[in-house]
Amino acid sequence: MPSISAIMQDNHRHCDELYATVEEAVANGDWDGAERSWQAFSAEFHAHVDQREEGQLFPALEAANGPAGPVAVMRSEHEQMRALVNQLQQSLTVRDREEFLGLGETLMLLTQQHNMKEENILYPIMDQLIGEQAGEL
Amino acid sequence: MRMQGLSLETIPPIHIPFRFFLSAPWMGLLAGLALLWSGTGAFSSPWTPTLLGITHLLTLGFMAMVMLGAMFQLVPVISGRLIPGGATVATLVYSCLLVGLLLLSFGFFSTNYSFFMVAMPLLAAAFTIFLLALAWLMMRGIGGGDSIFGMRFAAMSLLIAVLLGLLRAGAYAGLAPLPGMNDTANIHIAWGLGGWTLLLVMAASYQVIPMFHVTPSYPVALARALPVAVFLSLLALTLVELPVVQGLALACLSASAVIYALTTIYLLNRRKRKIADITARYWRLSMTCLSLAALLTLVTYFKAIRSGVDALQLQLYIGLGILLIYGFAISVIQGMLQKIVPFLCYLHLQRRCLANLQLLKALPHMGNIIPAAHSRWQFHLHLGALILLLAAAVNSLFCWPAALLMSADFAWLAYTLSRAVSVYRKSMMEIETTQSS
Ligand code: HEM
Repeated sequence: MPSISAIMQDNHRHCDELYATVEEAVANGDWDGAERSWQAFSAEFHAHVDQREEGQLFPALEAANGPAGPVAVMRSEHEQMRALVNQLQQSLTVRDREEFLGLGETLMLLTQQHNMKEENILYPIMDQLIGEQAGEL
Repeated sequence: MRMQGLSLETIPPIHIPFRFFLSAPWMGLLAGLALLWSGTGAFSSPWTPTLLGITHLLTLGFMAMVMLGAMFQLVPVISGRLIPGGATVATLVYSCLLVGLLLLSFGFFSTNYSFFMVAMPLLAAAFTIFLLALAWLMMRGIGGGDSIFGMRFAAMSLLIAVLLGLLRAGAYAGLAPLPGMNDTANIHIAWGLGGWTLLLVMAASYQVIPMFHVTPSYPVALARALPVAVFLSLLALTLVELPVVQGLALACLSASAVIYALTTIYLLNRRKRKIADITARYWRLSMTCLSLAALLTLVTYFKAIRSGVDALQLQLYIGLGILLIYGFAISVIQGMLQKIVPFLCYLHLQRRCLANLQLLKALPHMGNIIPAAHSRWQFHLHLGALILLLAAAVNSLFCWPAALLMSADFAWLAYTLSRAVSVYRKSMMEIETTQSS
């Protein structure tokens, strides 16, 4: 069975790829295509952050007496990412290319450094303390 | 994994990396102006004092300045631990480096080498403090994977390059007899450019290429083998004088550089984020120059064995230096600054909004902090300066226009970065007034 780390890392890559599709469509002025790919990205983003992490893994880690500080930091970063995702949604609705691409670049970098912390530090701790949760992901 | 002392909030205050990033373009501008002022003289031989001064304004003033600032920022984020000493250590390293490198370059320009007597202790202090703080951190069995692995070799190479540089500077200052250009100088250059610079760029790319451009990762075995191969080749070049070993070591070094560069270009070609991106173009330019330089190194080496050092050979050396410094290192650094500076501005603004998430909406995003059009200008100025500099190595007629464009390149960078900081300051003030009202 793949570990939490393996599953969640794949999930991060998948989200990146979905976002890249939206971005490309916006850059090419294909707004209808962008709307469609946005639905896929947005659904996956929320499934990852709201359900898998905040809904399942974080509470499990806390119940297993995992480190509280790092989890709180991750929650607060999720909050910031959700705010950017909302702003992106708005710029998509009004079809503002420059605004979308600037916000998107920001979300991308924010997400990447967030993922790096989860992948290098938090998921390995989860593998050790709550490895059995992988089965339910 | 050791969880004690581990934090996910290890972001140093913004002034720590930014003092390095904001000073660097001015050092580059000084180098450009020095070239403008010296006219065609600087390129008449690789060893003119003027060229040595210009070289160190670039290698220490621009490159090391940004590279140290970036390490103060990145190592804590990658490893989850802060560099000890905080702002005090950063301030000491920064001040000693800045004054030390200015005095070193001024010593070269004026050919009054007594300036070195002050420059040397300052530079020695800057790098000793930096490397000790880094060593303290790295001894603690931190995570961070391939990047931290490669950074260890980069740090050791920096130590060797600096020691050899100080040795040669001491000779200029009259502390020891000054033999002609000899192996110490060549080995100094090899550890500085082939060791410290190449290894740090490699280590950083393992982290940022897949992250920023959504590419596949570097193959793990290759990511580990390359820094080791580079480091061992440099050791062999330094320690074994047998011509066969020298030739083989140089071949191994060049092959590693070419393999690394081609792998990076291959990964970038397979990136999932397909939109036009200036940083990706900078990486391609940088990697192309690195491959050309690696091949040219072999050509000059074997040509020197066959036909001795002639005028053409000296021109080749200068061309090689331009390819490595301006083409490989400065390109990739400029490209990274286009992303890191706006990102850090945003990150620190955002942290001030945590108490009131409504404010997040009003923050400038990265495209407001450094507009994409400014980055495109930067790239074209840089590419133009690089081409003219290479032309100047062939024909000194091009010296003047090359120096002009080089100055414009760094002046534009100084402008975009200062503008970024003023957008940051303005926005920070707005947040503070809203929060206090
Ligand atoms: C404390 C730091 C340093 C000192 C004191 C120093 C000193 C010197 C000296 C005295 C020379 C002249 C060699 C000779 O004539 O024998 C030289 C050449 C050179 N150094 Fe450094 N150096 C330092 C750091 C670096 C670093 C970090 C790099 C590269 C990243 C570097 C790159 C070069 C290059 C490329 C040359 C040849 C320049 C030319 O041919 O015009 N140096 N250095």
